[in-house]
Amino acid sequence: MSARPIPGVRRCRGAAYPEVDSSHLSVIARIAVYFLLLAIGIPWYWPEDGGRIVLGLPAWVLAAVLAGLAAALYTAWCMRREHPP
Amino acid sequence: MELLPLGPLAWTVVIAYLGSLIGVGYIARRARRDDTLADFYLGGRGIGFAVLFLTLFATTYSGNTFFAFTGSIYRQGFVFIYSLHFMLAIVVVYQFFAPALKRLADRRGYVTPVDYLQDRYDSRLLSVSCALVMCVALSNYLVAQLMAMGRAMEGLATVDPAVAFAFGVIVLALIMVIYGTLGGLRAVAWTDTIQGVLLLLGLAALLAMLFRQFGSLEQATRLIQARDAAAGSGLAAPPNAAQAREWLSYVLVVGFGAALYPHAIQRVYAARSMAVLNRSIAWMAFMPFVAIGFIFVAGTMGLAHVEGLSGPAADQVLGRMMQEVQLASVFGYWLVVLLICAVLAAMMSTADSALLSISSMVSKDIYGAIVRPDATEGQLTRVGKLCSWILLALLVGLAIALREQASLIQIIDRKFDLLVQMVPAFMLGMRWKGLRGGPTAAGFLVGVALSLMLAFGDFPFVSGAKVAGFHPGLVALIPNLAIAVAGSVLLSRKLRARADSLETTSLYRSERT
Repeated sequence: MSARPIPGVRRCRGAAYPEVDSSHLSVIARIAVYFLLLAIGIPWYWPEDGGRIVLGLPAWVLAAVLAGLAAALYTAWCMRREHPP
Repeated sequence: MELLPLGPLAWTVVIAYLGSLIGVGYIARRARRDDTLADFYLGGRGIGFAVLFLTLFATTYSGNTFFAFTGSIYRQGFVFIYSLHFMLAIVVVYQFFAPALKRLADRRGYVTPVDYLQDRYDSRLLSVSCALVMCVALSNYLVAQLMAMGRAMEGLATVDPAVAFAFGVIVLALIMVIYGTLGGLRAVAWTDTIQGVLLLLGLAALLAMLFRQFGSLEQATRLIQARDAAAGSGLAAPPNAAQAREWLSYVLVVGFGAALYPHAIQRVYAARSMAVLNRSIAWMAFMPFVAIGFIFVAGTMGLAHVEGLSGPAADQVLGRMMQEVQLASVFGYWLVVLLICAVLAAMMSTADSALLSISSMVSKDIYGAIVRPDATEGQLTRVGKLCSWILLALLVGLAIALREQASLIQIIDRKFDLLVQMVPAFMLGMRWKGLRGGPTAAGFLVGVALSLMLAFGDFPFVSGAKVAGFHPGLVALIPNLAIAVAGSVLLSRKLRARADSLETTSLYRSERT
């Protein structure tokens, strides 16, 4: 099916491929870091009777929050490093 | 939203605030620079950091989120902390494709998400099918927001609930379509900014009031743990294996699905510069801790101190607590009035973002590309505005008709399962030049069909619309990806072989001559 041009888009076939800043390897490494943080963040390893309270919440909830915080800090750092202003 | 009915003075404040949004729409109209699609749908690609950040925040966290999520904590217990992870996952996914997409959008003049697909793959089948799926997913989202507005009005008015619901849906939809039509994305982003600030300040004050009213968070947690130990409800326990799988599934499906919301992609296009976009994404990574933090604390308080709610009624838990704050003092009363304004306006703004996005896709990707390719941008903008009014009228009717059908809304709420099927086209195609339009379109259609079949079909391995705890959309994404990748590799080999054979033939001919 041949495509008609979209109004407002300056078509130039084959040129719509972005020049990405990061290598495939760095993307895979970043994804691996996030999955590692997720594996820590989901408290599947926590004992069932873990009733200890830290900062007003069960300790396992805090572990999930801290893993999330690490992921947020890592994201902010990646955005600065990979795409500097 | 179960609150005390408002008095005349409070109603005046609510109406004045909502009415002032039309004024914002008028100011946004006066700020327009030209009669182009980019000016109307992308705010002239000139949205600065503060507005972009707050509009991304207000779009991601609808007013309805606060009520629905506190209800989920009430039903599921502490394990709902996974909402923090899935809201964060949206930002994590953004970083992998939004900056590259923004760079391309600036260079190639994209207005809708489909512009990228058409430009990248040159496949009308892929473009139109993705446009249709995005419109369906957004319409579903829009109906949910309209129904939430109606429910909010039901809780605030003293008249017959059905009348209050219909009146609320119609009036609020009318206000939002007026300011949206007047100022386009500029108006929506500006109102988002006001609501975002108001919502954050209001929630912080409400949290302080909840602590004063119900005591500390630790007391609430101990109460829940004690009740859990006695009844064995599991509300305070860490996730078991099934819950852990569901946790992972939510992180993936919401992270990828919500990052591909068309109105979110259009905000990426609308950023003034790459620096503005990058800063906004970096800051957005911390917003789940603010918004979900509030929701989690409020939900925990509700779980400990509000009793007797079950099923869908659990969504009223925040309303119940706000009611107590309303009764406690004059300050509490007016704080809740302020929050009602912000929550209603946030619902309207989320709905309006979706409406604006649908109208842009209908006018540009369907009307402009198929019906009238020679239409000017001014004509397309006018068609988009008309489409907003017609579509909203239809969806308002649907929302009123579905008032008593809460379960039906849950059944049709498969938007993430559908949106996630666009991952190969948007994310893989951004990094792999070899991905081809035909196989990507075939994979997408198979993915959509399979996810709907799994969600609605009667299969022994599907339980609670999930396959072993995973969303149907994620399961369907596997064959989708396989078809797109294998098809692209095979097609590339075939084309290379044909090119080689043509080269050999021409060499042979030139040798003979």
